[in-house]
Amino acid sequence: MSASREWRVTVLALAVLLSLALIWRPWEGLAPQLRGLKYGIDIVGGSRIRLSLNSVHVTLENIPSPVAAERIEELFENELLPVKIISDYDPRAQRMVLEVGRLVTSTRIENIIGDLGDVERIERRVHRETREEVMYMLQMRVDPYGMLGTEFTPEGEYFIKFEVAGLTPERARELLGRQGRVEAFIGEQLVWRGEDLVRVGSTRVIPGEGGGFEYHVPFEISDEAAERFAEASRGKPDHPLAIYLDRPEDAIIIFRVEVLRELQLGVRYQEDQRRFRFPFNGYEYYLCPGGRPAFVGVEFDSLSPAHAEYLEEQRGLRTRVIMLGENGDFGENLVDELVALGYSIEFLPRLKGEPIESWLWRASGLKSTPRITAEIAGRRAKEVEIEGTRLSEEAARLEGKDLEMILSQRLPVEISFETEELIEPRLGREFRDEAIRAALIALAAVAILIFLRYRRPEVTAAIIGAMFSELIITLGIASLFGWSIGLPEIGGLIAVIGTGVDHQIIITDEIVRGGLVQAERVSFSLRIKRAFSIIFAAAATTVAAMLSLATVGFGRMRGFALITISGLLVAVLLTRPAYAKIISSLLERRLKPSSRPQA
Amino acid sequence: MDPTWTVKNLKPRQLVAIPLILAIFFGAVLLLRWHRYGEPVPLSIDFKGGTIIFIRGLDNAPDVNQVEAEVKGLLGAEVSAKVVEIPGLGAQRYGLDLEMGVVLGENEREEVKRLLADRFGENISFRSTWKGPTITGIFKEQAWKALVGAFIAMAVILLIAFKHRFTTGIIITCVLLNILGSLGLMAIFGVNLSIGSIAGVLMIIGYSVDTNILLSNHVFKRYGGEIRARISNAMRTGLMMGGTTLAALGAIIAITTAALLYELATALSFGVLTDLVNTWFFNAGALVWYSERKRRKEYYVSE
Repeated sequence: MSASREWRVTVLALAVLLSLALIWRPWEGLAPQLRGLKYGIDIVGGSRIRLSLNSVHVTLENIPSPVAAERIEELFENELLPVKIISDYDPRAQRMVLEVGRLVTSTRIENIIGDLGDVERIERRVHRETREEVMYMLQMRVDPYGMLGTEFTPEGEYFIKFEVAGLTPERARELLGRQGRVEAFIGEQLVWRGEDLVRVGSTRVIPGEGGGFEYHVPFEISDEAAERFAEASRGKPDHPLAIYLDRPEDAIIIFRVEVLRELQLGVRYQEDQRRFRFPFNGYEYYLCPGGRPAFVGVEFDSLSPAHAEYLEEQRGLRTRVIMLGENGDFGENLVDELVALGYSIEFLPRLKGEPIESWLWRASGLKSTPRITAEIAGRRAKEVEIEGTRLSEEAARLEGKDLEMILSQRLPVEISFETEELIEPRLGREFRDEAIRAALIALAAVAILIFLRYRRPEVTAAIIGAMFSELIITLGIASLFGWSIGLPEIGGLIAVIGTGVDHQIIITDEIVRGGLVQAERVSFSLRIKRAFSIIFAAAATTVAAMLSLATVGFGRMRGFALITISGLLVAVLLTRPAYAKIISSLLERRLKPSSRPQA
Repeated sequence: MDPTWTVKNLKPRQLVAIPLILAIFFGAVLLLRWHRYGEPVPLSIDFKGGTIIFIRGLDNAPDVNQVEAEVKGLLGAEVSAKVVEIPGLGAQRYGLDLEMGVVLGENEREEVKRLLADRFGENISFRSTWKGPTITGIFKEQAWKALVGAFIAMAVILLIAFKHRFTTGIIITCVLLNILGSLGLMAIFGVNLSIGSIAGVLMIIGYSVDTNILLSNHVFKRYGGEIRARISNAMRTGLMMGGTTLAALGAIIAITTAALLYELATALSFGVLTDLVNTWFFNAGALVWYSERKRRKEYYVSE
């Protein structure tokens, strides 16, 4: 064959090799793993929650004066309705547009504003800025360190889609829907909680001793809470007041025993009580009060019998397990066993350079341990502060502000939950086995059918080879663009393979038929061109159908559409031309000389 | 045994009639179902809204009917329950999936949990998934628009690409019949219409165009031989294509536990099956009829 014929095959081969490299990433390690592929929430498991923002835009008219306009705002605030000006009071038109952060009726509005104005129009709407503000606030609440990989996406007119891997919907909803749950303990006793907060002050940042910057968030608690504090702290100067934020009291925290080696002086793990003891000025405090959450130390892939028994008996009392580390830090057997017991699993990876104690604090929700000074002990202290230290002033201020926001917690808009989806984790042996089995069976079935029809092993091999190439190159494209592979994307791959082989069959039949039926002597190239005319028209239709699909469910199947279209393009531009060359050269040996193809 | 004997021997009227009868049958099934259940095809939670509660950690397989009756009694809503087997280390564990058409408030969810905990013991875990009416209404609208939009786009592409109006008309009809057949089979076999299976139906639009163009191309090319022989050849290719696609999809359906993949693969398979009938009976029959009417004319398919 002349050189011009072979270039298509070479291009295909290069594309396959390139894709293999992208998926395997041998430069990162030689073990045969699909390093280049990202897995989406469908594989890793997690939650998808859709929030709807319940706000309306109200157009008010006939407002007599700017003073009246201001008064209107005040009246809304008195009703505890969050309100925001969308378009300022226009004195000539006497109109103004407000965003009210609740689904209120025009009747109620007219009640509120009285004769200061009339409702011209009311529609369900949320301003882009408001939606972004809410997304930011929720992000801070749910995933302040960005470790969970939460994603907030605006959808439609007034929805926010929230996705997070590794959390159950109940847990995700807790994080979204509830206030940051503040609790203060002296020893085992709960002294005050979030409900007891009366007012939150402004963050203060001062340079800390020993470098870094301290942030202080002051707030005020109620009288009853102050009384409880006085009693609990009587005779306990220099003891710590342990302040927790979102203490995971329904969880069991699992850590690798290796971390115990890194503990600082004095910090001890008490195995029989499943807690950590932290020294404090000659006194101590425990992580955590009441053993909630409890801490269980494990080897990589196994539990001690005592711990196993504990986990067994805690079923139903505790719902979740927080594993300190990442998925790869714990053995599959261990994780499987925990899942089989009915616990839901979350991972809490360590931050870069994070000391062990800090990690343990973060896992248990402990935020700070201010010292109960001699002046306050036994007194009704109404003013309290949470403090922390950060390396830079900016970071300190940011963390302080976030804390302030969590404690004061006022979203500009009422949110409600519109959908909640649990995505079962599939990453693990089961899914892999399932996928491999399905792929092998499909391949075998297709190969058998092809062989029965064409009775030539080389044709079968060529078709199967083409199928594989398409699959690998499509995956390579996914890796290149960083698409995360979830169920829709896998569905797309299945569609690519299932329909891809069809076109190989068309081409094979076109070429083979020279010699089977009384056909005119049409050259190979014309036959191949005709095969492509079929393919191009159908391809255009499929692309159109996939583009339509991408709009459904706010892009739920967009990955499927992208993969299908990519697979189609790969097929039309790469595999099929190459395949046509390969098959025509395979078959031309068997044909009469008069049918030898022209160049 | 020659799989193409139908094309070689049956009269065009007979060929065309078979898929039309099937289409009427499917249409009837859909209408009946619509009348009886309010929805022509079983709708998944994506389009219908409702709640699914997943219960895990049961030691024994529960009595489905009893559970359904109890929960229904508590909520006053229709409930359907399904037992799930969970492989794990050691003993086999079971789970229960409870599906209901209403969205439960927090209290109601708690009540159901209480009821089930009393029945099955405290050591079970609950998770729930639900979709409210606003979003499902929006999804339904989007799906509908996507289907109509893709169909119109297909018609336009075909009309531009092929000058032969008769063939284009037949192809468009075939696609319609395929969609009908696919939905009909889904209704008969109880496969949910979800965003996953809508993807399958949309793919069918592309796939049917594929097979139908294959057929038309073979018929209108300047190969020698009589039309039925040409169609017979094309049919062999077509059957092979359908067979391999069904083989691949069949493997997926048999093995997957993911609802989305199952619904997608089933919807596609149903489409491929009805496409086999519609292309090689309806389309083939129409072409035989057409060519027998206009014996000697030759038409080109434009590039």
